[in-house]
Parts: sequence; C-alpha cells; structure tokens
Amino acid sequence: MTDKTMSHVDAPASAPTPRERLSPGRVLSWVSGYETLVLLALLVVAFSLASDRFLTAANLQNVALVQAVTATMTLAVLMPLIIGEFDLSVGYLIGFLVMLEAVVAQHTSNPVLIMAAGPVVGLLVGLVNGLLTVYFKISSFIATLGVGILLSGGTQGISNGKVIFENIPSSLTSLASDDFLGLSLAVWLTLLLALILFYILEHTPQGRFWYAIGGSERVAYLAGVRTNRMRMTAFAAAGLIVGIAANFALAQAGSANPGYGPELLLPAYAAAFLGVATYRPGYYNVLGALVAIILLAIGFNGLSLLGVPFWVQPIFNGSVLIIAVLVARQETRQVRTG
Amino acid sequence: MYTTRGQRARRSLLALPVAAVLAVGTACAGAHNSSGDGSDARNAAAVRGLPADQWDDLHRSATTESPSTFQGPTASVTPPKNLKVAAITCLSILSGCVSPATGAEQAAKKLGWQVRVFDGGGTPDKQNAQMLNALSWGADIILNIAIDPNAVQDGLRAAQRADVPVGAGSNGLDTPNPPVKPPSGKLGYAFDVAPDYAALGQKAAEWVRADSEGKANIVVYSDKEFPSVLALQKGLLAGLDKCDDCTVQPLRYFTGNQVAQVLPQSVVSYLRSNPDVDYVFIPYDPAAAAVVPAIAQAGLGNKVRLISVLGSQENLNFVRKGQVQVADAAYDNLYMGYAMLDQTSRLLTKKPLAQPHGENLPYVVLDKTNVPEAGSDWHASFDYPGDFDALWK
Repeated sequence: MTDKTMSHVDAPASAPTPRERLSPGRVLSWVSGYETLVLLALLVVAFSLASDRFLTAANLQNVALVQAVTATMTLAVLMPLIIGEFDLSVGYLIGFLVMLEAVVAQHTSNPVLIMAAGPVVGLLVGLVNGLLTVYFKISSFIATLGVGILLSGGTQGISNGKVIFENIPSSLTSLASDDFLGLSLAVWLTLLLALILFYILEHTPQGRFWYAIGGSERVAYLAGVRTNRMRMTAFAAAGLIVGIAANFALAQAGSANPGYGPELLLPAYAAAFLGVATYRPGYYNVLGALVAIILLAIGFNGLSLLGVPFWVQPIFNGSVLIIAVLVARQETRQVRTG
Repeated sequence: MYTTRGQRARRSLLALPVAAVLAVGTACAGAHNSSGDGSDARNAAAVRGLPADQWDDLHRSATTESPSTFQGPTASVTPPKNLKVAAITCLSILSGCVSPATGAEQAAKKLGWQVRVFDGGGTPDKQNAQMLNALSWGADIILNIAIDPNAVQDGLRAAQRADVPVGAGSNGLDTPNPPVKPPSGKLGYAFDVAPDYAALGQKAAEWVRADSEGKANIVVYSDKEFPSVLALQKGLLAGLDKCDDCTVQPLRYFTGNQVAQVLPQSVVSYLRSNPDVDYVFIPYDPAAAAVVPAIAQAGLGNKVRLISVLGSQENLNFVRKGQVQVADAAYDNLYMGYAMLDQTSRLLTKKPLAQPHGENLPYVVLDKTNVPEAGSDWHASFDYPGDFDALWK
C-alpha cells in the first residue's frame, strides 16, 4: 500500500527554487496532467500529415469500433488497482465467460439468459477473488492468478477444446453490428459504463472509500471505512465488468474460442497504468484510462496505415507507457513536495 | 502451533473445494482410463503391411512433392490494374503466417499491384482491428492468412459494408478440402487457398509407415480449433490405418493457448507413462517447436521421432540436426501467395474462380534427405512464378 492519498492532502506548500524551475517536471508543468492528451494531439497531427487516410470519419470510426472490449477490460482492472490490489484472473475470466455464454446459447435461444450469464458468473468469480484476498489473506497476485488458471481449465472443459460459433443470437451480435451515430452499440455502452464508473469513483462515498483504501488501508480503517467489505466490492465490480466485456467480445467475434482471453490482460493493465498520467496524475482514474486507450488505439491505427514493420508497434506502446508513467511519477513527487 | 477457530474454519472452507476437485479429477481419470482402453483397442490399427523392399518406394513417395508439375489454373485472366491488396497475417513472428504474404508481395510486383502486410498479432482483437485498418488504408481486397473467419466477424461485417471482398489462405475451409460454409447469419471468405490437408496427412502417414517399416507406435496430437488440422488428421489416420503392425494411440487434444506451457509437459508425461510410443505427431510447427526442447530435456530424444506440419524454418532446423523432430509435412507458402492473387484477379474481374480453390498447391514431407538449406523455406521445384505470369495476360 502507498500513502498517495494522504500525502496528496497533507502536502506542504513551498516556493520552487530556481533549479527546480528548470527541472523537466517544471518545464512540463504547463500541461500538467494532460501530457498524454498533448501526445495524442501530436500523433493525430503527425499521422494526418503522413497519411491522407488517417483523418477520415471512416477511419476514426474503425478505430473506435474495436476498442469496446479493451476499454471495458481496462475499466475492470481499474477497480482492484484503485484499492492497491491486482486482479490477474481477468484475461482468463473473459475467455471463460465468452465460452460460457456460447455454451448457454447452445441450450437456449433466450438472449437475456445468454447475456446475463457472463455478468452474473463474472460477479461471482469476482467475489471469490475478493474472498480469497480479503478473508483468506492470500496475496491478490497469487489468489487471482490461481483462480484464472482454474478458469482456463474450465474454459477448456466446457468447450471441449472447440470453437463454438453456432446459435449465437443476432440480438447479441447486434451489439457490435448495429450502430448509432456512426459508432456500434458496444462502443456507446462502454462509454455509458465509463460515465457511471466515473461518477461512482469521483462523486460518491463508495469511490472515495476505494481511493482511501488504495492510499492507506490502515488509515481508511481507522477513519471508519469498512475496508474488508469495500475491497470485496472492488473485486466483485471487476468481475461484473469483465462479464459485460464478455458480451461485447462474443458480439464482435460471433464465436467463442477456447484460447481467447489471456492476451487481453496486459493491454488492459497497460492502459490503466498509462491512465495515471492524465486527469489525476498518479491516480488510477477512468478519464485517464479512456485517453490511454484512445492513444494506444490511434498509435496502432496510424502505424498500421503507414505500413511500419510489425515490430515497431510494441516498441511504440512500451515507450509511451514508460514515458507517460515516468512523467506521472514526476508530477506526483511535485505534488508531494509542493 | 495454535490456531483460532476462525482460522480452522477458513482452512476447512479452503479444503472443501480442493477435495471436491480431487474427487472429480480422480473420477474423471478413472472414466478416461476405462474408455481409453476401449479406444486403444479400436485405434490399434493392424492392417496389411508392405514387403520389406517396398519401404524405400513408400519413403520416396512421401518425400516427393505433389503435384510435381504445375497443376494450377489453365484459363488465363486479365488482372485489374493498380489494386491495393491488404494481406493480414495470423502472427508476423511465425514464418508460416508471413510466407504467403511474401509470395503475394512477389507476385504483386509483376501485376503492378500494391501489397501492404498487416500483422494480425495472433489474437482475434488485433486481427479484427487490422481488417479495419486495411479498410481505412483503402484496400481493394483483404487476404487473411490462417485467420479463422469465425473470430473476425466484426472485420468481415465492416468489409461487407465497405464492399471490399475478403479472401483467405491456409484455413482449409474451401476446395480441395471439404468446403465449410459459414453458419447462418455469419460471414465467410470469398475463397480460401490451401493445400489438400487430407492428402498431406496421408503423405505424412506414408512417411511414418516407411520410416518405421510398418511398426510405428504413434500418438497423434490434435487441435479442434482449426478445420485444417481436423482435415489433416482425417487423412493421417486413414493413412495409418493401412499400416499392418502400427499402433495408433488414442487421439490427444490441446488448444492453441496451451502450446507454451501445458503441451510440452503433457507430451513428456505421456511419453514417460507410455514408453512403447516411438512416434509423436504434432499438428503444427509452432506447437512442435515448444515440444521438441521439452522431449530433448527429458532425455527422451533418442526414443521418439516427432513429425509436424507447416515447414517453418525453426522446425526444418530440428529436422536438419535430427533433434527429436525428424520430418515435417510442408507446403509451398510462396505458391499460396501467387494463388491468392490469381484468385483475386478472377474474383474482381467476375470470372469463375479456379477449381479447386486451393489451385493444387504443392506439398511434401521433408526429412533429412530433402530438407532445404538453412534459412530457406521449401518451394516446389517447378517454375510456378513463370506459369502464373503466363496466365496473367
């Protein structure tokens, strides 16, 4: 646990020395908290100059179209991160839930049952993660990894190792295929989810308690926060959101593959980490995460349109992440030292 | 050491699911073993063998390319001008995914077309995203290499909306393989250029029969995710069924995401508990590349001979060195690139597609007698670039 929240509140104010004024952090202070937005703007300009295909409505629509799953997964991992924990099961969990919904679709044509299966079971798995971490005191790293590996076995078992693509209802796939104002329903629902989470995290006691626990669980406990219960809800929320992401994933692909899922873990965490550089530097936050997702998506799209070799994209993503987090850390230090 | 009542209760709670899992696991293992015995008996193929002097002929047949002359289309086609072709690889770190795109790039130079290669990244999300990027780039056609159409419905829908056709290679969904139609409401590919996987499987079986002189005790691994693997498996098992004294163990399945960790351990454990097995068939090279070091490290390298499929350079290096993997059922991926552009020409000029849609893509079994030089993919011996060039007037 860190003491970010408390140190932020208690930070003493002091005038910067001339040397501090020339430090890289001070030079960047005029865009403080919005460096990734500046980088995003620079990328947009650069790609627009380099490719006449980049700044078109069709291309930007295409960029947004496939971000629903990654964005929702990022929102899911934010919850445990805010309370200072990790949930490593989310990649395996989405694979399991997508497969579960596809299997349910083989037995019923009721779309409500199919679409509810993911969120409900996701919520339960989140509660199990919370139970293991909070009440059995197992490190969240180990507990959620264990649950994830267990789920991967479950995915293989219920799928029998096969890709399932029959009987996926069109009402589900319409989440990806139907659009409103040029964006698919899945994208709009992701934005709605982000809005709800933003409200909860920024404007309700629940959100403030989560941040307080992430800052210092001990202090939060002494302040009267029911920390165990709140930590459980963070894991449960993560599971629930992964269940929603499973609906988007099944809608987009139209099939469930037993190998799907684990590859989504790192991009989700990368976006969440990158998000700490925006809006509330040093803190995991929804707006920052959304900007991070757009930044990485624009980078992927622009580099693809330019036809760069395949190894350039991971280098771009890794560099952006490291630089942005370094900048965020610098800003956090400035806040602490005044 | 003292424990509180709460701690004891928590331990009991934790012990319950573990016990349940073990109980179910034990029950399943029992069921598997009993049914496995039956499968053993069913799968143990004991059919007629060949006279000893014919093993060489069988080996020659397996290691000779099929077809040995150009058997592609005969009808010429006038290719459209200035096309933009997007080739999306399954994963650009795998040579088997990239080689067809390289072939397409090579063929496109002759046609004056522009080919842009997009890395599918090995995941449906990236593959969907790259299809959309290809549309943004202004592709006139998208060619997906070894990408399951069921996983990229989003990309296919976007391509349909943009009126951009999508072809494919290496999936085994189209002739000469049994055509797999997309389920109702789903989209598929306009064509899929691939070798005759069943025939390739037959060739691999011929090689195993010849190499073991009809006495192979083989375990066949399979992956139900890929239609090409299932078609290949069918041919392989039919070929092994002709072997008099061969023993074919019950099929063992794995999935793509188990390749790195689970599969190697699983194969080694299997070989330890079945010491009579002397041949292992792995259905694609990246999986074999993970299994070979595990077998070698387990000290089983001298006891088993492994055969795989694709012709990836890493695996051909194993074959060259005789390091566990001794054969590879390969097909000409460069030819696939040419054939995909040939079918593209026919599709976009509204001419009938060449039959079979795989355009008789050449294949072979490679072992130490015919493996190409280090750093080279296997290519058919005849001048197919010239043959395709002659067709494109």
